[in-house]
Amino acid sequence: MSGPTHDPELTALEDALVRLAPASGVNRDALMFRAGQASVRRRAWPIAAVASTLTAAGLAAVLLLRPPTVLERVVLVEPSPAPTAPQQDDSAADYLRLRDRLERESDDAPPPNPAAPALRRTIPLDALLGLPPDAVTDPWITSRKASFQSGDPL
Amino acid sequence: MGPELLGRLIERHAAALVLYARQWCAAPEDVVQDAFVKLVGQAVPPEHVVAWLYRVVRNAALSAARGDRRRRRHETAVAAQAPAWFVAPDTTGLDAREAAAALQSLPPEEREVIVAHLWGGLTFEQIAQVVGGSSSTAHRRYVAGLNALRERLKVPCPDRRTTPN
Repeated sequence: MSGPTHDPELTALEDALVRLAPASGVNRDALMFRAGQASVRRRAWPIAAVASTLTAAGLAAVLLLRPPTVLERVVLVEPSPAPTAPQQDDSAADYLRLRDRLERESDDAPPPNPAAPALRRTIPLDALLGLPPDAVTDPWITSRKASFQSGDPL
Repeated sequence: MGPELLGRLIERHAAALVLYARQWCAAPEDVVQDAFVKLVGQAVPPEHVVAWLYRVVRNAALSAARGDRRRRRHETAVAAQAPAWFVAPDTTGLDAREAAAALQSLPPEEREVIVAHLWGGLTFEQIAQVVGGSSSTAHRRYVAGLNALRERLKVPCPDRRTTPN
């Protein structure tokens, strides 16, 4: 290829240079294969984008146009546990039970009086002793009185 | 872009593009292949395909050259075994190795214009668009590069027959 040099020497040099064929290491077949791959990849993206867009639009339409549904839900209510009875003092109960049994089984025990338990529990010790209420202020007697009434050991 | 047109472009311009990219990077074939693949990926083909290819190859080669600087030692060893710039000469009258050496010794801006115009077939206007600058600047660099090549290659002057008065 001759350039616009208008110099015969340069024109001759141009002609000599342009006859040198550049060495090419480009593999034409490999390049065509890569180009084909690139063209396919380019088409796959728009198709995938359009498909996903259409799917999303369809799902949105279904979601918006479907009739309202009544949501029924089964709720399990667990019954609350029964209130536990207040714990009794077992030692006091055993003591009273043992005393009642001894009273019943002894030979000189009086006949059982149905009102005895209530009487025993309601009559204070001061009254049994014939003393006015709260007449005894001695700490030793007071502690034994409390133990007798509650059934707790000293 | 159809495969036939792409095949023609490869046959006509791939070698010149490799020569063009070889000025900057050590693996010009990869740069040229990437440029052609990029061309296929264009949704709208460029108006001037050849000039577009030269611009893409130039940018990619310069970018690759920046990355290659980190491996300069390796490049030096590879350059000693680098493939020839031109096919072995037969009837050109120029020795290919000498021509390649002379071309290599040129300033990059002159060498670039010479390769793009002589082997790429780009006009000076197209070269100006690829390289940047004006067409007159490209032409001036071209002539300066050719003059330098002529001196280094010692090309004999053509016979000038003068007509007798």
